[in-house]
Amino acid sequence: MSKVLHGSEHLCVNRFIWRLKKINLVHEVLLKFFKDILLGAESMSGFGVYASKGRVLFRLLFPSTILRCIVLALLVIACAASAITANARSELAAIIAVITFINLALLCALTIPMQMVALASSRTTIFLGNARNLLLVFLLMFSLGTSLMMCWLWDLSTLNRYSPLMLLGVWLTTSLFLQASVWFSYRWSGAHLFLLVFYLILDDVVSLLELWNPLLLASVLLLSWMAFAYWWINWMPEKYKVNIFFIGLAAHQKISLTQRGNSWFHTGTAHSWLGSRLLGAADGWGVRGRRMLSVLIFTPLGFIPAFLIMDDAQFKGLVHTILLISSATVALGVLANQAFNLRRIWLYSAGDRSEFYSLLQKKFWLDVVPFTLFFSAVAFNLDWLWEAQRGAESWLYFLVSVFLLQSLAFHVYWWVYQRTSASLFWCNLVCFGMVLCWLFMSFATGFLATLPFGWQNVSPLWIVVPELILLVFLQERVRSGFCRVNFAGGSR
Amino acid sequence: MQTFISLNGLQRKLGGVSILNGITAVVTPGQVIALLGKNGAGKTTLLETMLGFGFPSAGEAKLWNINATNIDSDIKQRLGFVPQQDELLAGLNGRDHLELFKSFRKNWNQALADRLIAEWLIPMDVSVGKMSIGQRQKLSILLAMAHEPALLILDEPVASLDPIARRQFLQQLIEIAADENRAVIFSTHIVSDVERVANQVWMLRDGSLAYQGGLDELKESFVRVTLSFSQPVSLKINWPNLIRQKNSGHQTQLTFDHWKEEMVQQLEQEFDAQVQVEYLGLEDIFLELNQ
Repeated sequence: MSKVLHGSEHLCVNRFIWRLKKINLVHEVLLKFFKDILLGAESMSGFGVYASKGRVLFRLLFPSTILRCIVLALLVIACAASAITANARSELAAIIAVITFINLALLCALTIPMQMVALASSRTTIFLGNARNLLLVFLLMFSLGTSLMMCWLWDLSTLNRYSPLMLLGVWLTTSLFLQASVWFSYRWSGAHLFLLVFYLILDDVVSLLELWNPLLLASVLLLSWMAFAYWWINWMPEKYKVNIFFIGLAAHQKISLTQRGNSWFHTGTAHSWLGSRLLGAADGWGVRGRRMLSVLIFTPLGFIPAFLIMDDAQFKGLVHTILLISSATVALGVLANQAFNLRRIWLYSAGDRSEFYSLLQKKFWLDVVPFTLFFSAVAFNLDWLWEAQRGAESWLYFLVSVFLLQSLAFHVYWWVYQRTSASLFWCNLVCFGMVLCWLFMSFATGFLATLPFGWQNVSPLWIVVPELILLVFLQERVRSGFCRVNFAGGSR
Repeated sequence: MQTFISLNGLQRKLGGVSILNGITAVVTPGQVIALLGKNGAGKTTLLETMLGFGFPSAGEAKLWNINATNIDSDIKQRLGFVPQQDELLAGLNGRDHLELFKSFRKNWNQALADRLIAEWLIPMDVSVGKMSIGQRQKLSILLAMAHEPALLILDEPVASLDPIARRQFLQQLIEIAADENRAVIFSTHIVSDVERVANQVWMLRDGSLAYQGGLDELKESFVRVTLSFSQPVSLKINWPNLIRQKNSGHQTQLTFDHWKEEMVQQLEQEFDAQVQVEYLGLEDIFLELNQ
């Protein structure tokens, strides 16, 4: 049966058919995309090639299964929490989104620059055609994606001040941060960590940038990428720049010998037999002092940009954060070094394994306490110079809680070491996660600074009590666990 | 006789993977043992387990009749160990290392140390970070030898040494071998070195000892027999201790373990063929056992 259609009806039917076609097209495209991903190279279409390239790039940039799982898990949680926040305006979901996203961004910012440099200087990947161009495009996309996400989350927060100009400012800051990180990773492996401090003051940097002409911002952004691309494409590495995050013990040892061994900060005489072996370097008082000097010289560098940009109140808050991060970083560094070198003292110690607990603890505090006291003294004096708002009681509390955190880090680290048959990867990952949790709890309780949410002034007992419980739970287990500990093998 | 090391059904798993599968062996004074095996056969794990770096999953590893994971200072003084990757200390030079090790050791042969420094041309005033890999390896070996340990264990000690240094090192091992109160275990891939200094061979395959015994006995027990027939051959031979058979035209090549002279006659009688026997070198034996 046929029916004659009027003009308006004809238009509607046409629209309907067009929509159906569009839906069908999208359906076909999606089907093809997933087929390509699932079947891989056997049925390569345009999407298949991109999916395959993307998969290879993801595996190259995160060359550890555990790391890939963590990145994907964080991404899923961050996206889900963001979606809930956007629809339901849930404060808790917003906090989870922010925390997860910061963790993800931090993880990527730590690993990607070093891995990019390692890949670009590797003779294996150098022959993979346009690998460098692909990495450059990825970095550009990553900077844009991170900036968009950051602006969106910022907008969701109580600040509600999103503007295209703000996106430009965030994108410029993120781009400069990533570009500088790659360059730092090439020049001084691992030194790009210092750049993270710039990200702590992102809010202030963006506020400053928002005063600029948008055209100027866009020009600087474009110029920065052009300059970086020019350097990146023409850069001829002299030798393979290994990524210290993903190498074995043997390679670590080699780097430690050549890098640390030739530096004035690490050259000196040995004070004790076991101390030197546990440190993997001379442990004389002179060289200890020089090593401490190197940390004390580099740490204040983190203060300079903040001091120039921030106002007094914000800077004071940042001082506490930097001090806390510095104290935790020193503790984790000492633990990582001890774990790396523990096998060296087995054949040279007078006692058996059970005596290692007290030995390690003694050496740990010997290394950690001077740094922590120094950091605290600096902060106390800065507070006093600024006509302190915090009293001595507050600083005592700060000091105690930092020592508590360090003690907990010590016990957690060795507990994981014993449980995983000396997997240094898990030891570092778990402790790093624990310190991050502590940091976020400190923000949440308003102990260090406050997040831009209403959730603050939770009792500090939420930090201290779990710490104490965990410490009591672990202490005896870790002590007795040393009787059955396997040392990280030289064959790994 | 005193036993330095006794391994009894030793098993070791790492990350759920079985690396050592029930190794039973003893080390007595006067033995110079060459530990051979392909890459990933478990040589380093075996050496580290017998030194107590890790606990066995099953079985036991004992040093002077004490569990290797519980050895005391006295036993540690009798050991010398050179790991695959040297464990020298960053920021110290050779002389600092010597002083530091000397302070820990109860026994120290300064004359030996001085002689080796001179012969091996170790730059003692240079920071180890600036030394070449070979120089660091020489220093590591020197530090493990200077206290004249009763048991010296070396994990691929010559891998980074040039031919001259390798020869000097082997000469030093021969001197230790002459002392019947001491023992040496060294892992290596350079089979010619083994023939020069070892009197015992442990051949590790898939985490088990495929052979352990004297070097001469090993070389006498492995042969390649060529049977020549009057017409092209395609038969499949099934004899005890036959490891490999390869047919080619009128000939078939057989590789035997536990070879005995009287087997020549038995082969001639059974196959009515001309029999030619060739004794294998250690490298060929290694290849035959690991193919």
